[in-house]
Amino acid sequence: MSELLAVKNLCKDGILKDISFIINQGEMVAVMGPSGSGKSTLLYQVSGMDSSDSGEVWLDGTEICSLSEDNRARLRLSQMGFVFQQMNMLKNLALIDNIMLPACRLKKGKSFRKEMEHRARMLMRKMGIEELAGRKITEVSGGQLQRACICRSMMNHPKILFADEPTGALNQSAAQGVMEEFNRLNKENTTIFMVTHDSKVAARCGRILYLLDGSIKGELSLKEIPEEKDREERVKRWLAEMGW
Amino acid sequence: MKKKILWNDIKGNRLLAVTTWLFMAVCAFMVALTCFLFGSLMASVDTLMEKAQTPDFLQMHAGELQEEELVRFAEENEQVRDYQTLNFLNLENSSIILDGHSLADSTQDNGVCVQSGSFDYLLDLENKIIKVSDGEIYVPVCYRQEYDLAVGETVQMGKNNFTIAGFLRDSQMNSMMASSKRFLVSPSDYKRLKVAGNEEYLIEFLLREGADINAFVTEYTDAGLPSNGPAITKPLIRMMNALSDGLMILIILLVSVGLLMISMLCIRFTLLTQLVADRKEIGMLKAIGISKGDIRQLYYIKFLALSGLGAAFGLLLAFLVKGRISTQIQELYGASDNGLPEIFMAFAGVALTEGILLLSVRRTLKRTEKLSAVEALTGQYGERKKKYLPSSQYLIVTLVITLGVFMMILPQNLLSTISSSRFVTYMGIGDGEIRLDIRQTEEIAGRTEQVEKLLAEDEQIARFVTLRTTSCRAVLPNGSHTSLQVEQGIHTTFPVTYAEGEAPKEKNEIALSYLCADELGLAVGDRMLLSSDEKTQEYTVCGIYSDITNGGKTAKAAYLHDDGPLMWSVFYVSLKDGAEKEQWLSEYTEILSDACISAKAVDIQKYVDNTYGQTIGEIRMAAQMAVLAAVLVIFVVVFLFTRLLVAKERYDISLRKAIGFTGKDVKRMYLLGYLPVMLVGILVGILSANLLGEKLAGLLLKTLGAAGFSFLIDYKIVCIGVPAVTAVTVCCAIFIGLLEIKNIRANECCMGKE
Repeated sequence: MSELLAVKNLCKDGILKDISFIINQGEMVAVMGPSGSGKSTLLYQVSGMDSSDSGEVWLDGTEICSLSEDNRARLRLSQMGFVFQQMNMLKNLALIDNIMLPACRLKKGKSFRKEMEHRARMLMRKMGIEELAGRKITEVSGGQLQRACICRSMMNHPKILFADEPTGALNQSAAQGVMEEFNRLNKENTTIFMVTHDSKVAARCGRILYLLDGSIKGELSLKEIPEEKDREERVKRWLAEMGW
Repeated sequence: MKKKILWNDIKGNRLLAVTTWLFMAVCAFMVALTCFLFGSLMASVDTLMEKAQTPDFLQMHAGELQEEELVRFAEENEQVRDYQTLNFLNLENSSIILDGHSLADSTQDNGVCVQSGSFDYLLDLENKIIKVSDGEIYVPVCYRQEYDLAVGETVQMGKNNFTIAGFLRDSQMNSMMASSKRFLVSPSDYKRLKVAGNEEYLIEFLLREGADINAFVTEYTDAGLPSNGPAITKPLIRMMNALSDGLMILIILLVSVGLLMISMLCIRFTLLTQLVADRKEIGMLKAIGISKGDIRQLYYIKFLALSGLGAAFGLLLAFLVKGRISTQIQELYGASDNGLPEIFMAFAGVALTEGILLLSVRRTLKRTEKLSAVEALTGQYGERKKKYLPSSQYLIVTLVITLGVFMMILPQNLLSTISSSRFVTYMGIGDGEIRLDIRQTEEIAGRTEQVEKLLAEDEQIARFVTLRTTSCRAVLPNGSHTSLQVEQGIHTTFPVTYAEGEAPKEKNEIALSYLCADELGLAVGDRMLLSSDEKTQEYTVCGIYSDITNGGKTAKAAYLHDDGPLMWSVFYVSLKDGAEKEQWLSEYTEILSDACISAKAVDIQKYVDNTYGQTIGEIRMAAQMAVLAAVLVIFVVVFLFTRLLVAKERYDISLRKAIGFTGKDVKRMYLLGYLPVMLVGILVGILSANLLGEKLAGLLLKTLGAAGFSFLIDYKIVCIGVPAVTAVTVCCAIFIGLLEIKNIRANECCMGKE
């Protein structure tokens, strides 16, 4: 497996302290830790949404920290996908238009728009929400909206998908459905970097990083454990060992 | 996609969209109207002056005239391109009857003349040189509306009757501010009328391009040529032509600026409110990689589209109504040769307004750029919180009420100032009741003494002064001379308004007109030399006053060490209590006529009404427009902000209703909340209009030669009328805005619709 994301000695405002790790192509990695440990801050830094004090973040050979804000935005648009806890979408657009939003900057023209609409519908079909395409965002459920957010994050064929507490605002069944979609995407070789405080969600990932007081205190690989239940048990035990 | 976002956004915020459009439309309308009117006025005046070939210098004179000396001067002076002397037959106003209306009450010098031979033509309403036949007369166009005259009607001049063949435009005397009016008759009719009036001369010069008019005037005076009447130069003719309508345009401009400021405030506020509401959406867009520019564009396009539509509508509306408002301009000065400059000016004005508004939107949108995706998503602004959140809604409403009150009061103050008899003291005329002029006649000195004696013996007179004007030469710092008309006498009894310093009282003290002080580079306390014949005497400048009479460059002294020949005399008179002004004036006109003294006696209040009547009418119209615009803007803004407030506090209102408050209780609470806002707005508006507005108006009038301006305030309007109109407007807007409270249900708060 080739290296996709490399973080070296990353520091930010005393919240992140000298963090280093590597994520390979096709991996699904979760970051866990108690509130205030710096999980979300880490995601904002490695995705280029915020600038760091020192350190390096390499995405597929490009160092992100040294890029200008505009170039970081371009990189996020073309090579990254995002799913947030709050399902932020433009209220003035229908669901399908919101999904197509990241693509509108890539190219213009009727044929491109058709192509994008086709892709958006295909993604929605895979997520089981195709029939909601023309609905307003206020006319769908939280789970459906989060699936639409995942569709949006996949619109530009990202190299990596960042998710910040993607099931945090969902009920249990909706959360399970969303996680199944993440697993499906991961099986299709999409690299996923996720922040969560839910052990069940983390148990669906291949690897877990444990963050405490801005430093990585431990790492757990779940690749060798095939059964979901066993993975959940293993994660719980490991978290207890880490002092969670 | 952008189109979709834009369209859905407009559909979702109809009220805000309509308000933005309306603000821009009103702003564009006012600005375009100002540009159209200004462009039309300047172009019309220029076209008229060009077609009529207005002289560069005009000297009025009565009495003996040595034509050969004038011809020699004109031939020898290199600056002169052409020269002519026109005859003007000054008639008794009471002998002129226009279709049954006597001109007896007119303060103008009315008379007849024949068409000029080489320049200074009198033009018809198509700006063509008039050819008049025997028995026909052309009447100054300003009398057409005033006396409701039409072609074919009769004008009686003494025993002679004429048929009105048309109306004339006189590039020199069109404005009511010009003191004379010329009627045009045929040469043979002029001869017939000659016995009924006093003949005067208009000595006119056309100068070569690039000639220095001021230097030419000095050369003319130095040459000792005829000069017992007023002298006037082309720039002053242009200014008089432009001034009367210019003041109306000035008020519309001030209202436009006020409206633009209000629009910027409101649009900025609504935009900031929207940005706060859309904070998470902006954060999401930033996070997924949509660039700053693209996010800005999403909002920018909306304002561009709405304001662009508003601008186009305003421009179109201004284009449609400009004809009605510029009727007076078109009537007096005719259409310009080229209408393109005014259209270009209107386009440029509206583009500038649109640019200023969009720049303000752009600046506001820049705030979104400073906010990082993380800050927007998490709502943690840190240090930037204050800069990102909009200022208090009440503060904006206060500012809008202040600006609205300012817009209402400023034109009103200008109107009451110009309507007042004291306004003439800014124009170089003393603060008296009656003014008598002895000029353009033979033996001025002797006749002045005669009148002085008559006045001294008159028991109805409380006090009077005699002011004698002679021509002196002021020595410039470089040693050269310039001619200066110095009025000698007691200047403290009926003073003009002094912008700086005071009237001259002692020997060696001199007061200068603003334009004169400006040209000589002198200020109060400076010393200057006046020379007459061989002698030179030093004077100290004790005061500076405004003057637009006699070319605007005059001086006043209590005593002159060496006074030259008398040019004219002026008497200011005030009558004792109980004396009838009208009766006194008619008695005196008879007495002077019996004594064969050619003097003109006028009631100064009537002079103001006659001279500024047209300007006052236009300012009244502009003031009414300003009140209408201000009321509309205050209503729209207060209504809109009340609706926004109710929408924002819907949850709180519902909660109040849930715990037992009635709809009336809630409304009362909001009304009381607005009360201090309204009071502060009105108070600050009144103060700023009277203090800041006075300075602003003074600054603009100063450029026209009227310095040291202060408002003559009509307190009933300013302290009762305007606050009452504002309060009623605000209350109506709040009341209608609060009607939505009725639709808020008490259980909404329980349903989590915060």
